[in-house]
Amino acid sequence: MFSAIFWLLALCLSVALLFEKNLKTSVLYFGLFGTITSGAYLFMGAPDVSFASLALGAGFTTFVFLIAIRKTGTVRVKYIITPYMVFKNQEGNLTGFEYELLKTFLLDQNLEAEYAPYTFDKIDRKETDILIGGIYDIDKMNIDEKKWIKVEVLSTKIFKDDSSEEIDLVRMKKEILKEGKPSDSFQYFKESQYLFYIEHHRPELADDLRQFIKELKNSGEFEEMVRRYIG
Amino acid sequence: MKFLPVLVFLLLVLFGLVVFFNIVQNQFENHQNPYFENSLQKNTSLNITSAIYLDYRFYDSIFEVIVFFVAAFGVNMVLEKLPVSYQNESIHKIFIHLEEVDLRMETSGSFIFLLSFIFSIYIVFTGHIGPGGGFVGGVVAGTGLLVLSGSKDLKQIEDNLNRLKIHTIEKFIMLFLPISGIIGLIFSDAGFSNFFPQIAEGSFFSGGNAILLNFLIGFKVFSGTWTILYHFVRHRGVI
Repeated sequence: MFSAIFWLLALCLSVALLFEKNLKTSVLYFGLFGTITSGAYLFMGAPDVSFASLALGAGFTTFVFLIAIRKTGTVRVKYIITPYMVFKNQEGNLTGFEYELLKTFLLDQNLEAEYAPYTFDKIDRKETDILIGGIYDIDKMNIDEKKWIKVEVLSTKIFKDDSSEEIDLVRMKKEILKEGKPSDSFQYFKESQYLFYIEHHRPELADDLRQFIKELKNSGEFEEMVRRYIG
Repeated sequence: MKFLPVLVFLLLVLFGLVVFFNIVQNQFENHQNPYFENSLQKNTSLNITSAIYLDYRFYDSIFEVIVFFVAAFGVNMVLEKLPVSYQNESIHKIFIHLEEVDLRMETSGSFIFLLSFIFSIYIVFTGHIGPGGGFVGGVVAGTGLLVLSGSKDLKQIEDNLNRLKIHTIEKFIMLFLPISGIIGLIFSDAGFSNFFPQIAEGSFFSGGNAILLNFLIGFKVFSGTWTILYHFVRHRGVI
């Protein structure tokens, strides 16, 4: 009868496991599941199996899963240096609106990140998960659009300068403020969006990011960040 | 998308009900098993499970060990061809969360490894008297090793792994199992028959070859874990 109680407990736990979103919590649930089944085996009169279940289910697999999560949890980010979006401050650390947005998102998701600058030659998709840095035009990126998921971050405006080169809002702002170009040398061209590109093998990252941006916008924190980094 | 969790949930409920009713109307005791009779006199092992899987059904067990051996061997073979990691690490990369191992983690990791290692030795050598056995002992020690490697620096682990050379011993330990079978064939008429001295039931040298076989299996499982770990560290740079 004791073992039946244990099995029912294990059943409840597996239902909780099924609906658990956080990977680390679900791994801990899994370890607990192994412990409970081990208790059930013990009361069924099989201490050997109980030992094996405890050692494998609660000990070994839990650690292997935790290590696997830590390994796959590392997100490799490629960035393009863009004023106000991703740039290096005086101390040489990365900062900017998109960088801080991504950093908050990754902290929220319990993920670790590895940052490297984007070189405009052919990109290795196996070594990149997210592309950031004031991207609004896919044609300049030298990547296959079908293999990447777009996540819209911030709306922007595209302008054309004297030599009818396209330029986006933040880059134009820098040219006007830092390089002293007259503001009437830029003509309004079209509306656009700043995008994050996410490798198509990690769609859950794109969904989570969209959800996160939506929540940030609802709480008003998004506007605060835009004001702080872009102005 | 919403349909899948419901389906899995229903399957789980079904599984739970089957297990529950199986236990409630428990028929296990009513079946007479020939292994239950005279096993104490024939095998002198207090743990009947050990008597079955290390004596009567050892042929089954040896294939389980072979499966584990092949798995470890496969990891060994595949990863040996890959280049050794953390030599071609680019310098321009910026690591935001540096991997720092806490001193508390390091100390407690070593402590957990020591405890689990002692416990595994105990359950390997008393597998024929009480619950336990070679496989569980090997897994317990392997888990301890995993905890240790999670709490230490990668370079340090590789040095430790290199010094002990267990991955070389692991390749030879598999030979000892057939050799024990041949010794049994020489001393008695059948292969894998018991040649160890059998004293009274419940003593340390009871259960025929159980001590030797438990030790071999335990060492095999432990060193298999060790080999896999070594190759992952060496060629992948992660545990």
